Amino acid sequence: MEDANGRGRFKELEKVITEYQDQLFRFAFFRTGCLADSQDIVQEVFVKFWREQTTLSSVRNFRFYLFRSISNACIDYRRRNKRLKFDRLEQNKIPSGLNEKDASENLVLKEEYSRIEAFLIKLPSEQAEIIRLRILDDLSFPEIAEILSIPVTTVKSRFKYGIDKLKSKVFKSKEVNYELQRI
Amino acid sequence: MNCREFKANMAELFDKNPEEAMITELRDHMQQCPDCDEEYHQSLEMMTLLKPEIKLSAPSLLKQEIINRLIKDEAKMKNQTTKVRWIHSRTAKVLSVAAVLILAMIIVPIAFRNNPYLNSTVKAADRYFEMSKSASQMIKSMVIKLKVRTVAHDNFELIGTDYQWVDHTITKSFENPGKWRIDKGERVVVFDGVNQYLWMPNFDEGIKAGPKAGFISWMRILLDPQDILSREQKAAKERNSKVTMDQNGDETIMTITSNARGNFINDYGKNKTIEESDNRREYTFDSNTKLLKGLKIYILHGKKETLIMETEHIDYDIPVDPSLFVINLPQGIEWKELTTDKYSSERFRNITSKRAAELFFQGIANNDWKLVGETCDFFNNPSEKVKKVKEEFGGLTVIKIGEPFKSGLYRGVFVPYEIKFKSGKVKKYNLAVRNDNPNKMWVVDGGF
Repeated sequence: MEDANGRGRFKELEKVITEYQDQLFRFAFFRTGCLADSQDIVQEVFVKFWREQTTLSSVRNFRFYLFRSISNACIDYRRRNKRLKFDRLEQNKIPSGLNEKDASENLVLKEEYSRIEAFLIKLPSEQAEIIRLRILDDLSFPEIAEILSIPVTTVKSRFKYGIDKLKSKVFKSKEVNYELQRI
Repeated sequence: MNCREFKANMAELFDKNPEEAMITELRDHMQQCPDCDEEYHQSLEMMTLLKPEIKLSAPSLLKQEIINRLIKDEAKMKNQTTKVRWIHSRTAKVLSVAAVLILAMIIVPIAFRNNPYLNSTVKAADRYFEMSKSASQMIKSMVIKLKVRTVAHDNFELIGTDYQWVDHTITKSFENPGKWRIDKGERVVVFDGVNQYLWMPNFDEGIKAGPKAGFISWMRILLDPQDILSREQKAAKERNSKVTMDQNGDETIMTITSNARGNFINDYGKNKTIEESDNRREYTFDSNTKLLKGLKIYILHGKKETLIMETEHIDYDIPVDPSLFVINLPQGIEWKELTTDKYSSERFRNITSKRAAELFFQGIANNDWKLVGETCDFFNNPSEKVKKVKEEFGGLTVIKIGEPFKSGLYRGVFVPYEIKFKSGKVKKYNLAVRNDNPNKMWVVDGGF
């Protein structure tokens, strides 16, 4: 039964939010590095999800739909952010401190984001994204393939190349460090 | 399986639901091949390096904010078609031209102002408001006696259908600068033309704030009777309100029915203030003088309605003692400035609202009044009355702190709690905390 504010209509949506909000929020954070923006992105995804569906039962696979939506939203965010950076640099000569606010609010998270990004930035974007989807978002290779609309074999090979490339950089530098210590 | 095949398929070892047969083959190969084994373990180590060391969860209020946004969006869409209903009465024929013009002004979209006919109608309505304003501007003073269902020692906005009637007196001087005073049982607010002063004798506490302080909340509208019509008309346009006008002899009655404002996913805040309740406001104006004669406010719940506020009489231009606009505090008590600068405790920053509530109660439990005073200024008051509160609360045991929730228009959150006093009494209630200050520090606002 609906209450005065029609909240009853949102019951189904509330269940979906409860189930997926943590995963989607993590997903957005590890693409933006900004808690506030991640919150906005997740909110927008759910609002859009609600508006586009007359009934939630018409969505075949919530997980797939939501991950695809949040992935697209994060891509849009990065594009916008690039433009924003450019505009600010041009107009104010001030680098856009996108994460400044959140960094001050939660330095630990920011450091964690930066630590992981420091690895992934060394990779081609398509390999880095597969690694994020597998390790940070805990999606299986077939799920990643579905979200990105690419074959599973491509997902696996990009994952392997990405990990191999990182291994070569990380473990090579470890060896160098070890040698330096011995000297 | 050879090394080339192992390398080509090694990713299977890192999938969530790998193919069992392939995994067995890969593991068998690793046992025989130290190089591939090393390759695998390095990949595993690399994956560990990429795993976040902290678990990140969505903000606890995210779900509520999403639902709230959807409700708000829908309400906004409805608002675009503000409903205006006209009630025909037996005296419809003699309805004042002014009432017609007011309604016309409500329903005429600004976009149509270029229409010469409509333009003249709007101008006439404007003239009515100007007349009303001029009439109010002629008055020198006003005293309103009213009663409200509330708690005498609590804040001015609090209402409750189960509460007893509490008498209020509003006194206003329209001389320049305008001054006013509202007496409510055990609280008084005075505006002396420069600052507002809130005096709470039951706690021996006086608070001084700027002219725009929100001590009296919704009652502010009564202080400027010349603006009631225009303010309500504006509010009706902005919200999903229903407005009716009626003429009864020499009285013009304007009725506004409004829905509660705020987020009521959790309805804790519903009907605790006028704005946060479905309500009907009935203003009575003198048709000749255009002055406010009375106001009744009803809370609507289902088919039931409860009178929550009623003016008993309004007097204009009666002598007002100027000393009413000065509060002399008892000896030893000074005005405390209400500023946001004092919110600077590091211990209540960069934590969750739940954690802030935990710290607050932890402080009370340990009689650590310094910690408690950092988040709740009330406990810094050295008065005897506050000492008694400390004696009652100190040493309590926290039974449970629940999950925070938002409700109504409150800008902070409510944290449910259950505590046990030294006396053995158990209390379950909701702590009101907010961090909308420049330092984003959690401040305990009430609810204990």
